[in-house]
Amino acid sequence: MSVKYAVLGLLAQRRGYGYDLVQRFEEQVGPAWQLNAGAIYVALDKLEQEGLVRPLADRGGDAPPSRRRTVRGAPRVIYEATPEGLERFEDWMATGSSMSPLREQLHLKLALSQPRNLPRLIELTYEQEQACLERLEQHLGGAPFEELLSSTPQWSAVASVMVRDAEIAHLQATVEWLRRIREAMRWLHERPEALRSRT
Amino acid sequence: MTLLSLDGVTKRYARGFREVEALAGIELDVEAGDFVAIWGGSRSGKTTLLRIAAGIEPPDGGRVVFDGHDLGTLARKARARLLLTDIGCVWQTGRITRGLSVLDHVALPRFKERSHAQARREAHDVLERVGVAQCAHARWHELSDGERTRVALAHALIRRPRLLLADEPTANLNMIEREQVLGVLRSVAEEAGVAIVMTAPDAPNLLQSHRLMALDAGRLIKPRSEQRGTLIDFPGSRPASGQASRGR
Repeated sequence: MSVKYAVLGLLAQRRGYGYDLVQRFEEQVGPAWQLNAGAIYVALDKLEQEGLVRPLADRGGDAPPSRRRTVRGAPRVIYEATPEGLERFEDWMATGSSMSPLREQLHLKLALSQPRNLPRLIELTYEQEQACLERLEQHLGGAPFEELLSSTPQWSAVASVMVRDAEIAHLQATVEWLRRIREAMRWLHERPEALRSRT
Repeated sequence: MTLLSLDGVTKRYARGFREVEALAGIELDVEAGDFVAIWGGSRSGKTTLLRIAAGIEPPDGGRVVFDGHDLGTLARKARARLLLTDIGCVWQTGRITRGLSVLDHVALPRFKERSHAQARREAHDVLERVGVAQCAHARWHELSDGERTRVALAHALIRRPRLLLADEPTANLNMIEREQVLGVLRSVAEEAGVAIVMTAPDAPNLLQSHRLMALDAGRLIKPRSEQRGTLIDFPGSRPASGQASRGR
């Protein structure tokens, strides 16, 4: 799964502990994944079982590594990627990327709807556009490309802006689609006779 | 304090034999220092919205209030004065004053109050800020579309308006120029407290603003935090039983 490789990749950059990985994921990949911290801990466990990462002893190194992972007070476990882990990550970087299927609830509703649902479907397109605006709001004021390019940026900064841009592009395409189908549905709603009833 | 307020603004146009609803009940409040971006495609009504907000065109219904003045009841002269002093506009079809260079065109509103040299210096600064200082001595027909829009923006900014209405000020610009113009708008809002309403055709153009909304078929769509009342009232959209929105 991708999260596993993301965690492996973060540890390939530098060692880190669970919460630190959660933060770095958020920082580098952005809010679009809506990943919860639990998924990262699960991935860490799996990676450890496969021998791709290993825990380091905390502070000084003489105490045995603790298995507790709470943020409060408990000694945290710091992980690093093993040589096999680094190799596996390089392999993953070299493979092609799959594309996840588009699975939106609205698509199902459209597919299973009837002409009498038209008014509600039109409303739903407005609500969905509103939701897109709210997602876009999260990107307001983000460092624009110009600022980035004029300041001899680090690659990591450029990369995260490109990832952020992917969500923006997706939201834009969604809004354009919503406007298109809304116009079509409005047209049909005003001319019920334009639809052939099932025989 | 609310500087500009649109209250239930409607507008209809006749297009051939059909009537087109250009604006359907627009509610919009803009405060000093607010940078509002409105996302709309072609024929969404965005230019009409800006023209009505500027008082250039009257709405069919509803009210436009600027700084406490109802633009609908204001005398024509007073409205024209507002456009000269307090409300700056950037239109896509802007032109520069016949026979003048870009520099003089931009400096023109300042010639009355300053020495010509001072006004030209100021104009040069504004042109530089929006990235077209190299066009200072050019004539209108020598400018590209992107340069024209930025000259129009400089012309509007030099008067230090309290409200700036800009219709796609980033059209025909490349990515770097676009961010420069958006950055200028943002800093004008934040540093000089100018209220800005800008329209934009796509998402990347919205992101330097403070608030964003969308306009489609004359309806303004806002994030839930801003929406008052129902988003859209479509008769017959839900079953009458009131069991409508289960299973979302």
